[in-house]
Amino acid sequence: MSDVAETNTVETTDPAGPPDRPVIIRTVALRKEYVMGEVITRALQGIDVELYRGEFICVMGPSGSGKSTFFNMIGGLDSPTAGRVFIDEVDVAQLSAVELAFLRCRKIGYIFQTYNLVQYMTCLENITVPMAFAGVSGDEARDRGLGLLELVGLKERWFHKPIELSGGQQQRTAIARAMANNPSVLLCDEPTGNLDLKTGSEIHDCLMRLNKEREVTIICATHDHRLINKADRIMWVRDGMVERIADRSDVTVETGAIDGVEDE
Amino acid sequence: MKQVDVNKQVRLPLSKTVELVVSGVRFRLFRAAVTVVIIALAVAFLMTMLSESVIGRNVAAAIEEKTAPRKTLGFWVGQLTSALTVPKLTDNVAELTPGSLHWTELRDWGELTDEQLTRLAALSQLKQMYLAFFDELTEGDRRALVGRDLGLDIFEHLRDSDRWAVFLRELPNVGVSFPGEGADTFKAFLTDWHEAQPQLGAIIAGHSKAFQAFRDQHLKRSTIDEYLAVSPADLPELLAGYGYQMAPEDVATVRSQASLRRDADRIGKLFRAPLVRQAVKEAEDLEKANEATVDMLFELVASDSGVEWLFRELARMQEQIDELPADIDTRADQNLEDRMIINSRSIETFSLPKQRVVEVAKARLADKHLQRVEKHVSMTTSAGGYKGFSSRTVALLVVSFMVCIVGIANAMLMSVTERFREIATMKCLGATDGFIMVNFILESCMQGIAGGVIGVILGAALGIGRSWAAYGSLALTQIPVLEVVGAAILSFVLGVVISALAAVYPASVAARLAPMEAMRIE
Repeated sequence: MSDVAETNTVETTDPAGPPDRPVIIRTVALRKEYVMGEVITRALQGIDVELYRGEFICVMGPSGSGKSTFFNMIGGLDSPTAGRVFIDEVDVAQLSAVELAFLRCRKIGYIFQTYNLVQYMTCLENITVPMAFAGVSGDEARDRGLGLLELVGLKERWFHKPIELSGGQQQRTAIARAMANNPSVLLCDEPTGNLDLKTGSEIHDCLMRLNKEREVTIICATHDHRLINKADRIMWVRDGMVERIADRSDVTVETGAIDGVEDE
Repeated sequence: MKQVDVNKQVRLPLSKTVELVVSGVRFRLFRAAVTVVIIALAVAFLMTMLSESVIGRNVAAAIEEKTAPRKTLGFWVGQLTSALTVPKLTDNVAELTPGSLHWTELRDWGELTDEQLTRLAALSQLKQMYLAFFDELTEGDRRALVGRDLGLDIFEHLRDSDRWAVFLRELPNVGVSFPGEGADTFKAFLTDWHEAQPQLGAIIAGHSKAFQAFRDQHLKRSTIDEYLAVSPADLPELLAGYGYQMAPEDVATVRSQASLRRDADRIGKLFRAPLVRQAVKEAEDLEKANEATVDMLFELVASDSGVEWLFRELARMQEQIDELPADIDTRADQNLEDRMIINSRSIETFSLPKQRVVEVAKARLADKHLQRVEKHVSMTTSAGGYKGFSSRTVALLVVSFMVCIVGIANAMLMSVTERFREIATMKCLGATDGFIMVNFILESCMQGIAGGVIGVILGAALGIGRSWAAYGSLALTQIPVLEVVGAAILSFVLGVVISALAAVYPASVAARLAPMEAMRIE
């Protein structure tokens, strides 16, 4: 795939790199309004951000801040009321339903707080579903699926159904599934929200490894300070606006509290 | 802006889709089973109705064929032994084929022209139509219209102007709509009918002369059955001398049917003997001798072993009769004398060979059975409506299929709502709307196929079983395989189609589901 080749040509992974590094997701004056009867809810009120290829960015914000809406927009799951979303320089608004499906299938991997594995399929079957949607099946899909399971440390459990796995194992399976078609972006919505600290750490390590080794862009909504500490950048959303975007180094200096939580 | 390097999403091969659907159905086996049962019941209902109907029609045709010889004999026995009446004659005339032998017969007896008889035929058909109207009326309505009159008297009395005025006054108040083209046409018919009476009378008189002459000549010493059973080969020519027109091919039929009836009559006469009744009572293990019926006797002797029993019993009775002392004082017991006379008369004169007894008994039992079935068939197939279905049955079928559609749609909707997250996740993983749609319709179709197969088997078994119960073994020999297979295919396809149709709405709900539902946390 061309985007994989491009990713390999990125010369720097320095989080504090120059602002002209390749952009994977860009939003321009992004607005989203929900109309419910006579009440208009302005979920997003003009967001302009650039997310860089290969970076690990955490998105923070209280509930109701528009964080979820923002995720839906940049994940190609919903269309904006005004403004534009570019994913890999492609204007999402221009895409047809089938092209959106293509985009969701190959460019973006989704990781949910509730894992969302298909209950009646084994680990391996869950991982090969998106491959099937991308036209890969049979032995090739199985080999790739087993490879991904090995990557998340669950190769021995490929035949288990989700109900037979712990929460952490289910989430790792979900990560392997998200990686099925080598996406450029992993979109994680509270990936450790349902997990204890130790299991959460495993997921963090897993995501970090993917970010470092496979150079996948990871966009992560979280309140977990330990994960935020590992991020390249942190973005705060409040009242449908970007409150602040900062490099991790700046944050560490300014808010020691995050370090404090991490040490516990 | 960068040109879209996004291509059309790959369409999943059907085998993969089926595989996904199957694993999904297996996971929700119980709900799927309930849906399958709903479909199976509807399909079985249709299949039962269809197979019963095609078997019933076949049985009716077979009965018509099988009873034709008996009806031929019945027609000729009637012709040769009893006088015509106006109702009977007009019923015959209404169904006459112009130019047929019976047509010529009646025309010549009445010394009419073809035109006159044609006119009588038309009048007779009108008569049937108008009489059917009066038959349909409630007792009260008929009283109001025509007083206490019944049948053909109605026509005669309505010619009276007072009665006609009453009829006209009351006609709008009755619940049944008047047939034909109104009261004026009816009035004209009444006149025509009255004027046709002499012609009808002429036919009746002509026939009466003919059958009396025949009776005086040939039925002095024998009954009609006995005469026809041994009738000469030139019977048609002989009858032509009296004005009858018999088709040459009817001779053999009439002869064999008459001899069957004659011999059945001989066996039946045995039953008059108290000793035979006693034997039947013992053989059937009855409480009282008067519970024995002549049909029991026929059933007993309809087999080789049965006929052996009969002849053994007869021999024993003969001995019993012979053993009685010749000088017994019968005057002292009139009853005993009567019994003895009857016994000896019926037993001693019985002279049929064993094989013939079995043959006649079997033919008679088959005939009885046919008569019963015929009554049943005419009841079920005369209902009219579409393909022999009454409109009531059609309505029931439509309702059952609508209930089925609602049931399937409900099950599929539940299947969709409980899988919101799964569907949304699938969409996040790259499933297109089309795939989701196909997925659900396929799931429903597969349930339709399973339900269809079960329903067709169940329905065919029920339909054949019910036909068997109604028509006896005749139904099993008259299963029109091609038509039953056709009915099976129709029921099956209908089952699958309604399953697919019922899934359209739930599937479109699923397909339109936004992928962001996957993010929602309960």
